[in-house]
Amino acid sequence: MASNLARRTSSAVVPAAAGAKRKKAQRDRGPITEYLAFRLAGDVYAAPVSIIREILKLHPLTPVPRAPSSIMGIISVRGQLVTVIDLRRRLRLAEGPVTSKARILLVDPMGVELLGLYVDEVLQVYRLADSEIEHTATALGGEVASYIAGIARPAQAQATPQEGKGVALKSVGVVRQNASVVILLDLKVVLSS
Amino acid sequence: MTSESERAREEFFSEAQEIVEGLGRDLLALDEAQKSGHVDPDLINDVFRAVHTLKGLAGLFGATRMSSLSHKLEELLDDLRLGKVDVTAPVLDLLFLSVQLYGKLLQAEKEGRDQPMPELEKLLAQLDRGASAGGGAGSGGHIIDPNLLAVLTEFEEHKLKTNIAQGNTLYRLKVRFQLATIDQGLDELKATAKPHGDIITYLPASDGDDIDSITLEILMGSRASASTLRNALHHLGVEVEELPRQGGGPAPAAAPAPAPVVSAPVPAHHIPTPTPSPPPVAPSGVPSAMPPLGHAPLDMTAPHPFPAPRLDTSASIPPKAQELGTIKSVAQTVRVDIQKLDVLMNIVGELSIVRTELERLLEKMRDAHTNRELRINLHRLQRDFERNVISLRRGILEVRMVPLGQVFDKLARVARQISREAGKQVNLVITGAETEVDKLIVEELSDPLMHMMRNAIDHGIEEREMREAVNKPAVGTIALNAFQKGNHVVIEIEDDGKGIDTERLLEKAIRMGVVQADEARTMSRREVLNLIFVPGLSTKSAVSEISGRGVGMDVVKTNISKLGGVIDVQSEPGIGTKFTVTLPITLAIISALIVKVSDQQFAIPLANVQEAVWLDVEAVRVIDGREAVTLRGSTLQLCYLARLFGLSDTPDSNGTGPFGASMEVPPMGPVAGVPPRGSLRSESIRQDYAAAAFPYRPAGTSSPSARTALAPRQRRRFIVVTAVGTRRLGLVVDSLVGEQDVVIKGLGPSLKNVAGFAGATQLADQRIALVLDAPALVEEMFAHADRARMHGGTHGF
Repeated sequence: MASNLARRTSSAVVPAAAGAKRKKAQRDRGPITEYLAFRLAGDVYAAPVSIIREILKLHPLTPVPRAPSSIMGIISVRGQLVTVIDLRRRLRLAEGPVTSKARILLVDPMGVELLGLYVDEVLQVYRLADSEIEHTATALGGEVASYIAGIARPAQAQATPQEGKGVALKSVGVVRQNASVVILLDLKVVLSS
Repeated sequence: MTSESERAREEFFSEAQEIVEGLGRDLLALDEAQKSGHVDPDLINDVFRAVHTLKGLAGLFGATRMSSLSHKLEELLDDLRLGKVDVTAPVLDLLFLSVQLYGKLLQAEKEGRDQPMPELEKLLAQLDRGASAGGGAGSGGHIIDPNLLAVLTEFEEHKLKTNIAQGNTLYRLKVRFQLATIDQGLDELKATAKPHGDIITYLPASDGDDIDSITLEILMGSRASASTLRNALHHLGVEVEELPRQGGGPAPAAAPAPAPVVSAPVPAHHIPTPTPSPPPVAPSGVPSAMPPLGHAPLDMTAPHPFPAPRLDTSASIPPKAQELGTIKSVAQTVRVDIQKLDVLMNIVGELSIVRTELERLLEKMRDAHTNRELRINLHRLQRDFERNVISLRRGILEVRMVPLGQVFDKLARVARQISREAGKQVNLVITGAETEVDKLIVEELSDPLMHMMRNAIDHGIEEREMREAVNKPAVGTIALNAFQKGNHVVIEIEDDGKGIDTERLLEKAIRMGVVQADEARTMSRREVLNLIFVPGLSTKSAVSEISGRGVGMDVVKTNISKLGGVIDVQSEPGIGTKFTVTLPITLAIISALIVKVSDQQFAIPLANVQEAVWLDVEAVRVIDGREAVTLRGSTLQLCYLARLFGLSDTPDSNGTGPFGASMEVPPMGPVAGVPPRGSLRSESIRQDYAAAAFPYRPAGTSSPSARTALAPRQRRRFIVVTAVGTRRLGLVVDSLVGEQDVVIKGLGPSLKNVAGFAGATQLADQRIALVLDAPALVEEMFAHADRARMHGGTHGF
C-alpha cells in the first residue's frame, strides 16, 4: 500500500523519474497484461485488451425475435453481421438506461464468431501484473461464478478520492474513483454459457 | 495456417478432381461416338492424356493406388489408340468404372484413409484382361478446327462429328428473320429442314444494319444436294451454300481459302433453342467472351466409306497449336475460394451504403444553396461512382457463375449407368449446358437432378417391347434442357416414356388420406399430378410399385425450394413426363418482399411468396386450434408474425391481448387483393377472396357500413401467402413495403438455434432486416398444429 501511494504521488510531480521507477517496479512484479476496463451496472469490469478487436459506438440494433434475452440484436460492421450480447443480462446485472457513453466491444474470444458486447461505458486500459490480480478462490472463497477470472486493485485506483481529483483525473480524463475494484472477466466462459 | 505442402496438396486434389471430371466428359463423348459407330481417335487421345497427367500427379504426391490404376489404364488406352483393342461397350464400362474409382481414391486420399479397396484390385485385374484382348482395327478419324469447336457446344460438336462421320455434306444457310417473329420463323425453318438433314448450330451474323431483324447463319449437315435443299427452303428465303471442302493440304493455312463457316463475330452464346425470349442480338451489348472467329476453316478428315470430305488423314491439328491451347487454358483460370467472393460482395454492399449516404448529402447540399458548380461536379462524380459500384457487383456475381454443364456431365454418366442397369436404351439429349448458375446452386442441384434422372429412366421410359408395341422408337429419349429466363434459370428433364399414372396416384392419395374422396372428383389433372410432391406419394411406390432406393419427389421439391426454386410437372399418358425446375441465377442476391411487423422490417424471399391479400379479420376462423381463412376455395392457415415473434401488436389492435384476439378485433375494411408489384399474381384475387370468405360471421360484429366507418382508423393488415411444396401458410404482417433485391448474409453461430430466419440483409436505408426462412416457418406451423391436435389443445400456437 505504502509503496503504491508513494509511486503515485511521485508520478504527479516528476513524471520522467516516475516512468523509470515504474518500469523497474514492473520488472519486479512479473509479466504485465493489459486490461480494458468498462462499466456495467455501476461496477467496473475488465477484459484482456488482446481479445478486443474494436470499440464501436452504439449502432442502431436490429432485434432478433425468439433469440435468447441476452442477445440484444444484430448490427452490421462493414458489411458483416455481428450479434450483440448484452453483458448486463448475461451477468444478471441491473439494467440502467442506455446513455451516449454506451459502447459495443467487438471480440472474438473463441475464434469462431465475431461478437459485439454491450457495455455501459468504456473506462481505461490497466496494465496489471499477475501479482496484482487476486484469484477469486482466495479472495472470496467458495462458489464464485466461473466467469470471474480474478479481482484487481490497480495501483491508481488506490488513491483516496481527494488525491485523485487533484492530479490523476485531469491528466487522464476518465472517471476512476469507482475503480477501487476491477472484476476481471473470462469472456470465454461468459460467452459460452 | 496452411503450410506450403498442404497448399500444394490442396492444389493437387482440385487439379486431379478437375482432370477426373474432364475424363468423365471425354468418356461420355466416346460412348456417344461408339454408339454412332464412329470413334474419334482424338477423343481417345484426350482420354489418354488425362490419364497420363493423373499418373504424373499421383506419382508426385505419392498416391500409389492412383498411379497404379493410371498406369494400367494407360496401357489399355494405348492399345485403344493404336487400334489393338476396339472401343466396345464392355471396354467403356471399364473406363467409366475407373472414373468412379478415381473419385473414391481421391476422397480416400484426401481423408488420409488407407483402407483396402477390393473393387480397385478387381478393376486392375479386369484391365489386364481388357488390354490383352486384341483384335479389331482402329477407326478412321477427322479433326475439326479448334476455333470452331470453341464456339460449338459439346452437343453441337457431336452433331457435327456425326454428320461428318456419316459423310453428309455441310451447308451454310443464311436467313433473315424479323425479331418479332423469330421464334415461329425458326420453328418453321427447323421443321422444313428436318427431313433433309440436321441443323448443327446457328449463329447470328454481323450485318446488323437493321435493328428489327437478324440474319442467322446456320450450319447444317445433309445428305441432300444443294439444289434439293435450295428448293425445299426457298419459300423461307433461305440462301443455301455448300461448304467447299478443303483440298487436302497438310496445314489449314495452306488450303485455298475455304469459305469460312462462320464469318460473323460470335457472341458469347449461340441462340438457345428453346428460349421463348428474343435472342441476344444487340451487337454492342454482347460481351465477346469467345475469341473472335475471323477465319475459321473447317478442317476435317472423313471416314473411309463415303465420298465425303476426304482429307489427309495423317494431318491433324498441328501439335504445337494444341499444346499452346492447353497452356493457355491453364493460365487463364484462377481457382478462387467462394468465401473470398463473399468478402468482396460484402465490400460492395458497404460501397452501396456509401453511395446512399453520398446521395443523401447531395440532397442536403441542394437545400443549403451551396456552390452550384461544385454541386454539379459532385453529382457527376456520384453518378460515376454509382455506375461503377453496380458493375463491380455484377462482375463479382459473374465470377460466381459456372456452367450447368458440370452437373449435366455427371447426370449423363448417371443416365448411362442407370440405363444399363435397367436394361433400357436411352438417348440423352442435352441443350443449354452452357447456361450459367451460381456455383453454390450447381452444387446443391446435382442430387435432386440425379434423382429425377433416375426416376425418368426407371419409371418413365418403358421396356423396349412395350415401346415397340405402341409404335414408339425402341430407344427412349430423355431431354435435358437448360436456359435462362430473366433472372432465373429453367432446367427441364423430359422423357418420352409412359407418363404418370394419375389414377393410381389419386387412388393412393385417397388411401393415405391426403385427399378426400369427394375432393378427388373435383381435382384438376394438374392438381393430381402435383400430388407426387406429397411425402410418401412419390412415383416410385405410387405408380410403379417398385420398392425403390433413394428418396421421393417430396425431398426433391424441398431441396429445390431451399435453393429458392420451384418445380413443376407436366405429364401426358403414353407421351411422357416433363419436370421443370426454375431457379434463381444466384443465391447471393435474391428478390424479396419487404414487410413490416410492429415497425420492424422483415424480408420474405419472393420465391416462397405466392401472393399477398388483405386480411379480413372477420373471415378468420379457428379450426381445431388453428386460425385460418379460406382463400380461393382452400383453407389457409394463418400465422401472426407479431405474435410469433413476440413483437407488440400494432397500436391499432385496440389493446387486445397478443393471444387469440383476432376474433374480437374490430373488423377491418372489405377484403381486396393487393398486388404489391408486378410479379405477385393477385390481380384476380379481389373477387375470389371476397367470394371465398366464410359466410359465417361471429356474433356481435358490426354491420358492413359501421365497418367502413371504422376503417380509416384501423390499419389493414396483410396476409402474405407463402408456399413450400404443397403446404401453404398465410403470414400476417402489418404492411407491405415493397420488392427489393437483397444480399442475404448468414446469422452467426450464436443465433443458430433461433428458428425461422434464413439470415439478414442490409436494406438501402442502412437498416438490417431479417430474412424469413419460409420453409422452416411452414414446417414449424404445421408441426405445431399437429402437436396441438395431439394434445387436444385449442390454443393458437
